[in-house]
Amino acid sequence: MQALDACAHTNRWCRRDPLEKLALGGGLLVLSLLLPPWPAGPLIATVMMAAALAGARVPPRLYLRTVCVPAGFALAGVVTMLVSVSFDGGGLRLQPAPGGVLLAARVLLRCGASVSCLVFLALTTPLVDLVPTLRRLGCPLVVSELMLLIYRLLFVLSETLAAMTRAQAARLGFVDRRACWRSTGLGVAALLTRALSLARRLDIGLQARGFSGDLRVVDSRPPVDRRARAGIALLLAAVTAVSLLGAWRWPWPT
Amino acid sequence: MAVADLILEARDLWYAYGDDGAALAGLDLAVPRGARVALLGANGSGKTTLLLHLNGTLRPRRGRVLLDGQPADYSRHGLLAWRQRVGVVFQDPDDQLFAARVCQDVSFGPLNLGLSDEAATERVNEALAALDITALRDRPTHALSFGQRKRVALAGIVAMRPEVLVLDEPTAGLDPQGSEQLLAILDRLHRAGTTLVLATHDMDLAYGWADEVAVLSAGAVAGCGRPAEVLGDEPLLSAAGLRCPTLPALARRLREHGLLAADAVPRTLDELVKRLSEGVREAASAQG
Repeated sequence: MQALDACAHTNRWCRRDPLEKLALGGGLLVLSLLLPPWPAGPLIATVMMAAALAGARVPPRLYLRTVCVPAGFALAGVVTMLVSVSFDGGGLRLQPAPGGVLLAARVLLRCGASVSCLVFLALTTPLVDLVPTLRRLGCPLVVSELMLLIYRLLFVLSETLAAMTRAQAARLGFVDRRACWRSTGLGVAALLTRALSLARRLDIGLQARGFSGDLRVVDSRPPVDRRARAGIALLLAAVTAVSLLGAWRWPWPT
Repeated sequence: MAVADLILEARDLWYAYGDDGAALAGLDLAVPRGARVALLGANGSGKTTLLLHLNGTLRPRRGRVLLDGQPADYSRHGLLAWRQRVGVVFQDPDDQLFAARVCQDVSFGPLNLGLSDEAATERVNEALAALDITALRDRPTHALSFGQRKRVALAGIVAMRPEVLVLDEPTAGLDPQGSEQLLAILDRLHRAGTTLVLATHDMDLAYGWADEVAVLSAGAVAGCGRPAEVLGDEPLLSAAGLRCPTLPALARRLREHGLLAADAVPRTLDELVKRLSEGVREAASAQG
């Protein structure tokens, strides 16, 4: 999480208008869900990967590491589509599902495209920028405040957890399996009470600064880059056109 | 003392957390306008509880807090006005920082005062400059070091331009240089007219820095007055779980040994050295 966040704050596009990145990543995400997965899926994934690696100069190793986790989930999920389970004659029967391979491939293509869009956003746009942009687009205040608070507390709590784990390890808390379970249980319980007390103290701290129910802060908006916006609109249109044309020219096998 | 001289006053404060023993037990404190007041006390003596009363976070079970001679107003509107005038900086900066970026966090207080975005931005720039952290403006809060977070938390309060700045252990956890820089910043704020109230364990800091000190013990003020008087009172300090600062303790021993004039109460190391060398020179001329 830390590496991901650091990259969002340091990549080549980190100072660009978050609205541009949201339009590019979010726009392609919507297209990946609307367009037929072939050939839009691979096309969108390629565009997003190129934008992240060549455009924003995200380190390839980090990119790979970030993609790995959702890819693992997708692959594990897709396995169940390949087989069908039936009970007959009292026995359990596993057999290849009819059309399972094609279905799994379609899901994987769509999934890969959407994940590449999310990964692009996560690696290039700090959440700090993303949330005010969502606000500008009409996201309710309560939701955006919660997002930011959770984001901030995630870091405070992960620091606390790391310190607690180190302290437990220093007293041989992870010496064997039994100790591991015990330490983990105690750690999670302690983290909960810490989180609650942190929330209470943060509330007092905010009240000392005149908090009266809404967490308003000043945001600096970068200047509007018309050319970039036009380019993104053009790219989205091109992806749509090519995908639809491709789907008509090379139809998906049935 | 005339009432108008006191900007903040606590009269006979009583407070208890739940059913535990009293955290404050009849505490009286007077903060003169423009003064630098140090609150000293052992752990659990009620320092933090007192600070939370000074901006209305906690409401005393008995007794009252006076602001400019007027009883404090605990209504929603009254608290807002109160917290604009009295800013509290907590010991742990994470109790205060919530926004993900430094400039956003500092802008929170000014916006709550009802300032426009432009005016708030101006306040942010001013506060960051006052604390020498303009370079941190666009940094994410969680990427800051402890010392930097402490300064950003202070900036968030300074941006509200309080008349009284109340700090809980501002130098705790800072390295010597960091503490020194922080004290220099506090001095600048003090010269600009801010009244400062500082809770600390650091006896030497209180001795050299404060105009007035108050020693807290078991939820009440056990002694208060000029640092030279209060912090030389060893029975009082040891009863409160504290010890004499190095400088007055050393000066007392030197006086006892006749090495320092009986009326010499040096506030700083330089002053002590000056008085000592004067004594040595006098002794030499008396001999010669």
